[in-house]
This record gives sequence, structure tokens and C-alpha cells, in this order.
Amino acid sequence: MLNIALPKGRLGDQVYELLSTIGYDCKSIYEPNRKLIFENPENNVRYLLVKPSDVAIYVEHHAADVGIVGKDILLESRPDVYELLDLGLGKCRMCVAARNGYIEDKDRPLRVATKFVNIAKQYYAGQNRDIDIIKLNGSIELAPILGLSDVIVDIVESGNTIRENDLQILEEFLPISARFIANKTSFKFQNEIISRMTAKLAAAVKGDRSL
Amino acid sequence: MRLQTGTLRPEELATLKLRGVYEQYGYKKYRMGRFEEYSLYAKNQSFLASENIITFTDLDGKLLALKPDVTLSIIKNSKATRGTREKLYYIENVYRESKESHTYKEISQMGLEVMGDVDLYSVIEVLTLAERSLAQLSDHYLLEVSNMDFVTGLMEPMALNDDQKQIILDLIRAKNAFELRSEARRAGLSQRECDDLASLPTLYGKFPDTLKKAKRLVRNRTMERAVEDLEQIYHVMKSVGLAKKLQLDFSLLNDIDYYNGIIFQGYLEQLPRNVLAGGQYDGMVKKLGKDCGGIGFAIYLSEMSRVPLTPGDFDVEALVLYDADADLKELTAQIQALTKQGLRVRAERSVPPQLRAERIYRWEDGALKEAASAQNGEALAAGGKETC
Repeated sequence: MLNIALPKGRLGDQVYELLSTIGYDCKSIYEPNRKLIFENPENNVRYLLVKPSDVAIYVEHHAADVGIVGKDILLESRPDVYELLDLGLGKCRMCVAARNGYIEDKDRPLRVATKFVNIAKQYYAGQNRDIDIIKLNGSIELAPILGLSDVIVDIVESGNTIRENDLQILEEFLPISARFIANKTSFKFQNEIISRMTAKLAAAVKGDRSL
Repeated sequence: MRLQTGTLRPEELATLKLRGVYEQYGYKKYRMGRFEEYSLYAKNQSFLASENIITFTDLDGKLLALKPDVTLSIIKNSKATRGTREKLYYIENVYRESKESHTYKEISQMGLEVMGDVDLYSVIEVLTLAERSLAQLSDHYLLEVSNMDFVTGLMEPMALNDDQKQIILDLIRAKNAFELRSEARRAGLSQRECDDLASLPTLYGKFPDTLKKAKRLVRNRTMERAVEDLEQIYHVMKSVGLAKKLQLDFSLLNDIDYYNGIIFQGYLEQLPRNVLAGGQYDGMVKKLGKDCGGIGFAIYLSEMSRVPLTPGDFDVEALVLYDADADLKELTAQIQALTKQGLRVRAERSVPPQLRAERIYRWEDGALKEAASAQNGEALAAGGKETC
């Protein structure tokens, strides 16, 4: 039985659609209930519905054998897992954004509000810029509007939230997408099953791209 | 007195048995104190898993640390040279950061080191002991082996700066073939070099097949020698029946500044991470100013606590209930007689809550009488079948 950590929400739905077309379906997932575990003994898979930011933790701790998680979370928490495939789903960009008309004062440390503390630190260390980090958990776009920070480091998809809050993108520095990860022990002891799933996913992703 | 090994956890039993095995191969026990000079770790931070170390100032003003590692101390104190060999094993507690709880943890670690003249036989002996150690912990294990010289040999002629090299090594470790290819292309490597690097994550499996695939990737003498060593090791391990759980995986990489040649990790099916890690670390030895080789491994015994044990049916075989009237001399004698039969006995004035007993004895008319006995293996518990 292969345990798959699926992120709750839109990405998880997209990934499940993909997996169900290549032989890993589990019809009970559509039942309207509050269950978090769905099993299909016929094709030997068990889906675990998990908070997106927790997928890597489940996989790293062997509670799930494989999982789907965004590259942003992988770069931020650096779990010790195998990263086997880029699913090309959930595409967005990691950006630096500020208020419209913002002018940087290079004479003092830059105040950066973000959910992604490690990613922000690494980005600015590479530029040798002195920064103060303010860690927030959501609605990061508010910070520069209220003067809590000069800029924000956050993921941007369509850019609507940025535009509607009178912000502008200063820099796009990292393309983000959903990745297929595996626990190292599971990869070694259940190698056939995981390799087969990876190969099928790779083919399906390539097929989608060529459409 | 017979040792009651039934209640020992697998890691406790393992330390008992493995001590014997290591001593049979001529390893001597190394004992070290809890404290070590902080400067030893400060100068060699990248050898350690984490830079967070518990430090304190001793009464004489020296800055000390609660040791996060044993290998560095063994190397520092070693008197081995190129012509001699020192073989040591240890069972020590180390103090490390737990990444999950962001607190310090005490970790029980068992391991061994060979310092001095390290040749192919030493490597095979250490691998043999690593396998036997894993087998002692569980039937469901595998020992993953690699030769760093294969990968460093492949990357040596490539025009990469240190940062690029680091990124590529991390991608190989994560088996991230697709990003490897794009990073290699971005660094300006040739098509063939990109293909070679991208094939490393797929170079794993049973020795014979993987070696065959690896041979096609050999581009220079260093890589050729690496494959030859691996082949020889495999043939010897196979001849002594230790090749069944052996696997080759070229994506296994340790820090290239410290490790060279053969490195390995041991996995148990039930545990999320490797329970054993080791390799040849000539680079580390040289850095500490000794002119010789070194190879060893460590077993993270604390990881074993994650393996659930099937709980026994009973906590004790005999629960003895006595009251204030009991003849103490007689009671003591009879309880001692029960223990001499090998039973676990508990004497109480009343039935303790949550105790699972196989039999209950009562002190009645000057003697112990069996009052109740477990049926069908179902333990007698407080508030259960027995009424006081």
C-alpha cells in the first residue's frame, strides 16, 4: 500500500485528476464527508489529505511514502527527501513587490515582510544587501501598504492581488511549481512501485505539455 | 542469575551483542567524557550535522562543549600513523539539535573507527561489521554503498566554480535529475557532460546491474579505479554471503572536503531515515593534522525508539496481595521462591490500577494461595475479574 500525501485545495484536486488518469484513482475521495484518508486496495494506494505546508513533513517522517508539494515549501524548509519530478502544476513565481512608486533608500537596512524567511535571506545574501525580516503568515500584501515593511517576498500567480492592492512587482527571481517527492527509505524499499508511478507521471506531464 | 533479555529493546540487545562482535574483530572500547574543548568543533563545523552545540565555561575558564560527535575526538587523540592501525569502537551519548522541535536532544550512538593504514581489506571489514550491525537491529534492512571517487572523478574535468559544484552535488543527492540537467546547462557544460550528470540519480540498484551501467559512464582513470574497487568489494562480500541486502547508489554523497572513496548508509524498512552512516574520511584526518587514513561508521540507536514493540500480554506473572496480618518472614520466602522460578512478581496491599497480571495470589491462613488465573491469555487487570 503506497501512502500518498495530497495537499488540500486546488493543487491537490489537480494532482488527483492527473493521478486518476494514469491508474491511481480512488473514487471514495469524491464522497461528501470529512474523512482525511482514502484507500483503494485494487490499485494499492492510500491518499492522505494534508495541509499543503505539511506534505513535506509527512513524507520526511515516513508517514507518507510520496507526496506533492510546491517548490517554495521545499526551498524554505529543505526536507531530506528525493525530488523526483516537476509536475508543471501550480505554476507561479517568487517575487519581490512594493507599493507603486516605491523608491528604495539604500542607506538603511531594507525591511522585508515575508512568509518565506529562508528564501528571502538567501536571496538578499546573494546581493549583499542588509535586511530586517518580518515574518508573517498571510495577507503579506498588507505590510508595505501599512508601512510595516518596505517590500515583500511572496509567491505571485496571476498578479491580481498585487495589482488590486496598489503594489508592483520589482523582481521575479524564482519559478515555482509542484514537485513529486519521495521518502528516502520508501524509495529504497518500495522502489518498483515508486519508480513506476514516477515514470507514468513523467509521461503524463510530457503529454500534457505537448497539447 | 539468568539475564532477563525478554524485556530488552532491540537497540539494548544490539549493543550487548555488537560489543562482542566488534571485540572479536580486534576493536577496543573507546571511552570519552561528556565534555570536549569547544574549539575542536568550532574549527570543523561543516563536518557536524548542525552548527548548534551546547557550550559552557568550565571553572578554570575554558570554553567546553557537550560533545555533538565522537569521531572528531577519536581522530584528534589518535596516535595512528601510515604504518600502524588503531581500531576502536564506542557507545556514547551525543548532544545535538533536533530539527523538528528546535531543542537539543541526547542521542545514543554506537560506532567504530579504523585509523591509520586503511586498505581495501579494512574497507571490507568495516562494511562487514556495518551489515552485521544492521542485521542485529532488524531483518528488514539494506546497506547502501557508493564510491565518492566515481562522482568526483566525473566532475573534476568540468569547468565549475565552487558554488556551482555545491548546487550540482545537492541536486544529485536529491535525485533531482531534471533540475540537474538545467543547472548543468546554465553552468555552460557540454551536452555530454549534462547527460552524464543527469544519469547519476538513476545509477542505483543491485551491484551487478548498476556496475554494468556505471562502466558506460567511466571517462577517466579515477572513475575506472572506483568501479574496480566496488567490483572487488562486491565479490568478496558475495563470497561470504553478505551481498543479499547490499545496494549500490551513486547519488549517495558525503561532504567532499572530508570524505573520499567508499561511503555507505544503512536503512531499516520501518524507520524514516538511515539508522547507520559511515565512510572513509581521509580528508577530515588530514585536516586535523594527522598523516594517515580513517574509516568508520555510527549507528543512531535513538532512532530505534520509533520501532514499535509488540507489547507482551502481561506486566508481571504473579501479583501477590497481602495484608497487615501477613507473616513477613514467610511472605518474603515465598515471594523469593516465585522469583527463583523465573517469574516477575509484584507484592501489593491492593490491586494497582492498569497492572496486567497472569496470576493473582492471596495471603490466606499463613500461606500464599492462587486466587485467580488469566484465561486465554487475557490479563487480569484492576477492576476486572478479581474483586478485593
